[in-house]
Amino acid sequence: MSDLVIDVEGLRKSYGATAALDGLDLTVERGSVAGFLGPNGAGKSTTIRILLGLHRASGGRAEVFGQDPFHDAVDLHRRLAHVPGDVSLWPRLTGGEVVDLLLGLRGVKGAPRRDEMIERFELDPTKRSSTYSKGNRQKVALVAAFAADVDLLVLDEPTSGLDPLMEAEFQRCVREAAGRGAAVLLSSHILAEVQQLCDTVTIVRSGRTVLAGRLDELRSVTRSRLTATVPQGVGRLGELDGVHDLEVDGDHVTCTIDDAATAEVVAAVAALRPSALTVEPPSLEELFLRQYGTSPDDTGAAADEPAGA
Amino acid sequence: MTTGPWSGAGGLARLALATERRWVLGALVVFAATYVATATQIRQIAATPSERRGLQATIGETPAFRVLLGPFDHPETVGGTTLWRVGVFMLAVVAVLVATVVVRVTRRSEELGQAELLGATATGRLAPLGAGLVAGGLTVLAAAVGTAVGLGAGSDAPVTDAVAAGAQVVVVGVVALGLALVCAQVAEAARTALALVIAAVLVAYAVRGAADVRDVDTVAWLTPFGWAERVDPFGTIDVLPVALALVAAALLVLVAVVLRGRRDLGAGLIAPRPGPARAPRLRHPVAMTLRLEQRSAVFWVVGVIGFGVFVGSLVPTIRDLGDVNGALADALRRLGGPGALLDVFVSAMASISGLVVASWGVAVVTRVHADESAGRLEQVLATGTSRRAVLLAPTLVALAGVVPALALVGVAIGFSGGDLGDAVPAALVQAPAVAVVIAVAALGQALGGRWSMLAWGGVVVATAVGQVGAAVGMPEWLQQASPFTHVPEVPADSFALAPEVGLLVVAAAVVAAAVVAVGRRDVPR
Repeated sequence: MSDLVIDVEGLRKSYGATAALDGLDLTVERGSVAGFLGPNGAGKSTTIRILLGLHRASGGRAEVFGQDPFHDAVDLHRRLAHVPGDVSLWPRLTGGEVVDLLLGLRGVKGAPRRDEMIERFELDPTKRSSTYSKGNRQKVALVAAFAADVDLLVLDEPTSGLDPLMEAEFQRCVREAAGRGAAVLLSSHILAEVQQLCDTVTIVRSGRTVLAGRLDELRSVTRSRLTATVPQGVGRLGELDGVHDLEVDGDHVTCTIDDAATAEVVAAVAALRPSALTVEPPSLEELFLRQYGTSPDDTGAAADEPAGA
Repeated sequence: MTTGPWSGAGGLARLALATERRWVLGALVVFAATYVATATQIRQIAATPSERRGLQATIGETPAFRVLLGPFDHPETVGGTTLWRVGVFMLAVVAVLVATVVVRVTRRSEELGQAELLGATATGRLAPLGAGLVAGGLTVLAAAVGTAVGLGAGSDAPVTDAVAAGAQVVVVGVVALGLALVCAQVAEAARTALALVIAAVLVAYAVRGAADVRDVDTVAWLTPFGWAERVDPFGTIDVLPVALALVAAALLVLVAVVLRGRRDLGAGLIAPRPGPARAPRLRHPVAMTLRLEQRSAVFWVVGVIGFGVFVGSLVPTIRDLGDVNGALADALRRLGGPGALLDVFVSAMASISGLVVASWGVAVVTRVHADESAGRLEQVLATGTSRRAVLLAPTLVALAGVVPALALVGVAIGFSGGDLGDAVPAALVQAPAVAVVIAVAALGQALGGRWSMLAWGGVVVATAVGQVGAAVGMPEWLQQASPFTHVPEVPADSFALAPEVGLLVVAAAVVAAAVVAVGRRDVPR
């Protein structure tokens, strides 16, 4: 059996005349954390609704554990946990009751980490849901998701409203789950969170995948940024192969360099006797903004190469 | 622009009117329509003064009716009779309506965080209270105008008496408005605030009822309902109670203002109590429905028993009524078909109790749509719960409650009327018709979106066509649209199996269609 837990290819979904998804590709492997990025309205939540069998795809292929998420919804849902970005609870029930309700409806008996998670997320389970703040409502869904073992976690902007301590706790929980072999789909706008947690990322725009792959591979196909302070001037640095976007401001110099040319360029800069030198791999934010900063046609072309790699 | 605690109230009031417009317009239309419809009905049942005096001498003097409708002092006119028939009840309606609007504008917007968003703009602390005052005041005004216009246009009432009837609405309405503003300051949850007002309305209604039975003037002055009765349209009209009500309302507003000045945004004196930290038995959608419905079920049970006891208490009167008033007996027979008057009465009341039970069932089933629009249904469906289970759990709970609830009404009517024999079967034969209404509600939830309104639409059609239709001479084919029209009129008629089985088949078919429909659509729609 394949290691692909989520396998989506050319997924389409239209609501009347509006196309929400227009050929979206997404894969998530067992034991890995997949980041799912894109601007608001790009189709992330629609994709998740299709993966949960709540909405029916108009075209393309979507499989979860090799099964059809619409027709085999109940079977699949016993193996997964879902945390929406805006958790709405039953006002009269307490947080503890909702946790047990969600676990019970999933068919979990005696969730092994229920009390531990309530403690780790510092949730007061006796308070009525109507009195919870947004962050606390979010915690209720997170506790229910992490309290028992699942094969797949579907997290749709799960940390909105959490404080930094809870955010760190959330990241620990995700790593533990992936360590137990679970596949994790994490839709998020917090790039630092994705960068720290995710093995792969999929960036979507206008219902289409524009960039997908392992985070380290994506970085290598994009240029690193070199920053140096060279009191003696840049010399002929600009003429070297692999140097792009050279900017000189006094003795301060920045440029981007092709991954393959890193050794030659750094040696050339070293020969200029710099007083400071840094070479950074591209941050996720740079990858992300590059996909959004240009027109859709440009990104479509730019995405072909890394997505196919 | 001046700045102070009230600044920005005008803007918030306009916002409140934009969001609550339907309540205000609804009050105008419902009150006017109720009076026109009731006056039309009275003209048919008791067209002549002598018939109306006959009504006064019989039903009007019954303690149960004095508690429910107040004293029947002015049978000379159709207008006076109309006001007796629905006046006091509509006063309770305006109180609840105004409280709903006021709580929505004040505490509910606070609960939802809207007040916080607005409070950070250049609006004063008391601005939401001011907006509640304006929106509530306009609701009172709309109901009062609706009453005066409906009564004036629908009956023979002179302008002064119609306006006086509107003034009665103002008396109860403004006090309810003030009370709602205070309760919205006291309770942290909007639901609790509204429940406090409704409890106060029920107590006041009961106190007024006791005062009217005993005719004790001092007790009557205790409640705004008593004040409203002292306005006395169609009698010696008195405006003093209106002034009294306005002063009382002003004092209540003052209390609300003082309370608001002393509390933080979102805080109150009555906070929701903590609850259980665990719920090991909440493992199934049915368990979930039962858990969520248990509290309101208590109120429905009490209400249903109360209705049965009240109906039963009328049995002796109806038994004596027989030949006294020919037209009234005719009207009752038209509601319930041929047969002895008492049998017709029991059967007609059983049909109404069927509608009450159906309303409870629909309230349970419409939870599906409430959960869907709040986003909770997605969370439930993301667990190992099927769409079918999510739809069928509340439907089955509602259907399972039908027979016990109807039996309860029957027993209550029987005990209180002194004859258990006829009442229980009369109530139980309604069950298949109730099942149809619940099934239609389930279909509405299954289709989702705007279709979910089918649920209450079914209750409205069953009421309008089944209860009122016969009285106003609606065509036969239209009356057939209500499932209750097809129920055998036990005990006036003998039991018939075929229509009952037919209704059950319809209910089963509709539920089956709902199950198919819910499996095919996007959630949320």
